[in-house]
Amino acid sequence: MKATLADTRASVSHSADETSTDEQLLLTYRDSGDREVFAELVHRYERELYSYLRRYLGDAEMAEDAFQAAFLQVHLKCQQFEAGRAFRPWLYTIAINQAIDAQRRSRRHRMVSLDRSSGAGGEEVGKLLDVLVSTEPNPTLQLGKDERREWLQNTMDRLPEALRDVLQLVYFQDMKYREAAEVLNIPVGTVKSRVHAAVLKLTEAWKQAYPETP
Amino acid sequence: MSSPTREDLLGYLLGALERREHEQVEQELARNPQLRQELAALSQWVDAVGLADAPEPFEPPPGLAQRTCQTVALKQSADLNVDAPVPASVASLETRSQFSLADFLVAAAVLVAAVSLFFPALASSRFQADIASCQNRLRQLGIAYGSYDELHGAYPTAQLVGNRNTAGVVAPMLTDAKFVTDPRLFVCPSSKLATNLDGWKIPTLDELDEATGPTLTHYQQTMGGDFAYNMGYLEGGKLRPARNNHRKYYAMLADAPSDAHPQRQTLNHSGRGQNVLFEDGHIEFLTSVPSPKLADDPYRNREGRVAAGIDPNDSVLGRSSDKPLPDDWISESGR
Repeated sequence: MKATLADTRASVSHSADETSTDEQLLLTYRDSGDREVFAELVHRYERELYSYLRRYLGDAEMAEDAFQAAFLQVHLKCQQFEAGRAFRPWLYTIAINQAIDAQRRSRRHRMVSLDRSSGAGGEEVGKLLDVLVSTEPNPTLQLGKDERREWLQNTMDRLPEALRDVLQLVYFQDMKYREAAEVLNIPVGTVKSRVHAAVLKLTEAWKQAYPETP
Repeated sequence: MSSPTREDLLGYLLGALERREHEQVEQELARNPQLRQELAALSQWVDAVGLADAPEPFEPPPGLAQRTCQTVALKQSADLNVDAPVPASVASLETRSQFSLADFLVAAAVLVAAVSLFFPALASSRFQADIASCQNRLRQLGIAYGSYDELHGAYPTAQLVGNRNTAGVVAPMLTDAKFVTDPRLFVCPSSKLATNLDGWKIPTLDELDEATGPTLTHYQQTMGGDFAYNMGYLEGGKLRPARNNHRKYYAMLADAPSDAHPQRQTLNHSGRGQNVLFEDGHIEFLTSVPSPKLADDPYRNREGRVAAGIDPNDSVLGRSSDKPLPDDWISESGR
C-alpha cells in the first residue's frame, strides 16, 4: 500500500502549535485572530494543497493563485466553521471552488475525455473483474516507476472529470472515501463507485496502450 | 460490513477505508480464499497502473506560505471592522465604543512597522523568493530561446534598421511564434511593472511593423518587459545573431539594466543585483556588474558601449529600447 500523505503533512509541521489539531487551530484563529496560528495552518497544508491544486489545474501560477485564494477564503469564512467538523475536507471544498473559478477565468479547457459516451461518467460502473478475468500472468510491468507515474498522470488527465476528481482525492491526496465524499458533497457510495469506474478505465487504457501485457 | 465488495477491496488497497472497515475487510480476507484471490487480481492491476506507488508531490514555490499569510494579513488589516474574523478582544472593545476605526488602523500600521523592524528575516525571505521567481521566468524564456534557435538556427535578435531595431523585439518574436504564450513571463515579479500591468502589452510583429511616431516609440520602450536580451554582434558591417554554442558565461538574458545606475545595474531587485541567464542554461544572481566572474560586461560591449557585441563572444544584453546600432553610431564614421 502507498505511503500516506499524513506522514508528509506531519513532517512539515514546525511551529509551537504543532500538537494542536487543524480544527483546534482554526477555532483558535476564529476566536483570537492570532496570525501565528493561521500561519501554522498554512504551513501544514502548503505542500499538500499546492500539490493538489497544481495537479488539478495543470499550471503552477494558477495553482499558487488558487492556493492563496483558498486560504483567504478560510480567513473570511472561518466564522462559519462549525465545531465538530473536519477541517481538511472543508479546506479542500474551498480550494476546489477556487480552482474552478481560476479555470473559468483563464478559460482553459480540460483535455478530451477518455469516456466519449459519458460526460459525468461517475455512475457508469463497469465490471472490473471482467477485465481482470481475462488476464492471466502477472501484468507487472516493463515500465519503470517514473514512466509508469507519467503514464498514470497523463491517463488520469483524460479521465472523465467526475472520475478524475475522486481518484485525485483518494489516491493523490490520500483521503478516505468518507472525506472525499464530504469534499465533493456526494454520497460515499458514489465515491466508491467512481473510484471503481476510474480504476476500470485506467486498466482498459493500460491494456490498450500495452496490449502485449496481459 | 457484509461481504466486502470490489469497491471495498479497492478502498482497502488504496487506504481509503476507515479503520473499522479496514479491519473488517482483513477479517473477511482471512477466512475467505475467494476474496483473497479477487484481491490479488485487483492488486495486480492497481500495481500495474501505478496506483500502488506513492504519488510524487509537486513542490510548492519558495515562500508560498509566507506570501499567503501576508496576503491574508493585509486583508485582515484592511477589513478589520468589515468582514474579517474580528478577534474577540477587538470585538469587545468595539462594543464598548472606546476605540475608533482610526485607532485600529494606527495600531495596524504600528504592528506592520514593528514587524518590519523586528523581523528582517521576513523581508530577506521575500527577497529570496522574488529572485527565485524571477529566475524561473528567465529559465522558461531560455527554453523558448532554445526552441527558436532549433527552428531558425539562431536566437531571436533585433535588426539593424526598421521598426524591429530594438532589443525588446525578442518578446513579440517569441510570442508570435508561440514559443511563449503567457506574456507575464517577460515581467520580473519584483519589478514596478509587475505591480500594475494595466496598459502594458506585447504587440504582434505586424503591429510593430505598422506602428509610427509615438506608438512605435512606446512599443519599443515597453514591449520587452523587464528583461534584457542578447543583441548579437557586428561583423563586416552586418549584425549577426548569436548561435548556440553552450558557452558557460555567455549571457543570453537578464534583468533589464537601468541608466539611473552608474554601472547600469537593474532596478528590478531594489538595486541589489540582477539575474543573468547564460547560454548553458544556468542562472546566477550577480550582485554587481561587471562581475569578476564574467569576461565582459553583460550590459556593454567590449568598447564599453551599449550596442551589439564586437565579436562572436562579446555578449551584450539590451533592455527593450536599446539598439544594436545606436543612433549616435550611425553618425560616426565607418560603422
